[in-house]
Amino acid sequence: MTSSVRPFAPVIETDRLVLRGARKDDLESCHAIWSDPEYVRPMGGLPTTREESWTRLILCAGLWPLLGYGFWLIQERVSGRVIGDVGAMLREREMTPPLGSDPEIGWGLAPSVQRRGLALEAVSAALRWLDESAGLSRQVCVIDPENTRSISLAAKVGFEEIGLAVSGGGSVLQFQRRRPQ
Amino acid sequence: MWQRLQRYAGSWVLLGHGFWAIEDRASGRLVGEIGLMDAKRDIDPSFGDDRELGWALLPEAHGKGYASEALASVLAWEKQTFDAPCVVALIDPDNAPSIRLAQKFGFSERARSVYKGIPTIQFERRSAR
Repeated sequence: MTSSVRPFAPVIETDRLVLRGARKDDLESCHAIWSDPEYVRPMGGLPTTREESWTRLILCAGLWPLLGYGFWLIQERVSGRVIGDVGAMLREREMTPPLGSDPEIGWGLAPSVQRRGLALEAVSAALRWLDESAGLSRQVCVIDPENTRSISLAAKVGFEEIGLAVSGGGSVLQFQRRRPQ
Repeated sequence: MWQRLQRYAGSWVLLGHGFWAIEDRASGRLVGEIGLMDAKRDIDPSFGDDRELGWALLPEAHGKGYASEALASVLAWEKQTFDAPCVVALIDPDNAPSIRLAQKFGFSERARSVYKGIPTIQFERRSAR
């Protein structure tokens, strides 16, 4: 680790987006996204209850003081609306073969704002910050094999496919990315 | 385990309150945890705006008055920091030592609930005003 641990997510601005740390009053907007069956379908998860959305919001904030990186909420610049989240996390996922202990990159956007290149904009900005400031030499990500849009986004930001793995009874694709020199 | 630490840290960042690790001063050993949380539990009756106190000690640290010592400090901290009219606690009906401890600190039963399939008692402590 070259970075010193920072308690809060830094604010990152892109052309159309602001990435910022979670706040407690983000619960309703995040819950609207995370509880949407259309949102969770490509990730193979279940829509969250309000209690689970709250825990997830707290988790978004909670990695920063421990490790100096974590998750951002994605806000649309024009509307100020929260439209998703992106970041790096440590998850002890049960998976065969195992994915190792490197941080896992994750992202998700509300279905209503997809197909506009916003996810690419957000993930690129987050990775740029992580490359420059978090000192992570290798990152991984896990994507449903049928989620072609996320797979193509992962390739665009420098992830290479490792292969198929079994996780929770289903198969997932594992990817890795090394920090550009 | 990461998730749990992450949740604890996130609570401090987002809400300004959360959990502490309890260490035995003499040995420096970690013997438990205590804190003030807002889990927005899907429970009936709902906690409303009341924050929730939680504590747990390792078996080796039971019977030494540690929980009492920790609870007294956290209640004092809560008073100084938030001074909420009411705090709540969920206790297993079979956990007699915790129920006794809560009662000693002015908690009284306010409801019986089932949370995630497990019967539990809601205790509340109203602030002395």
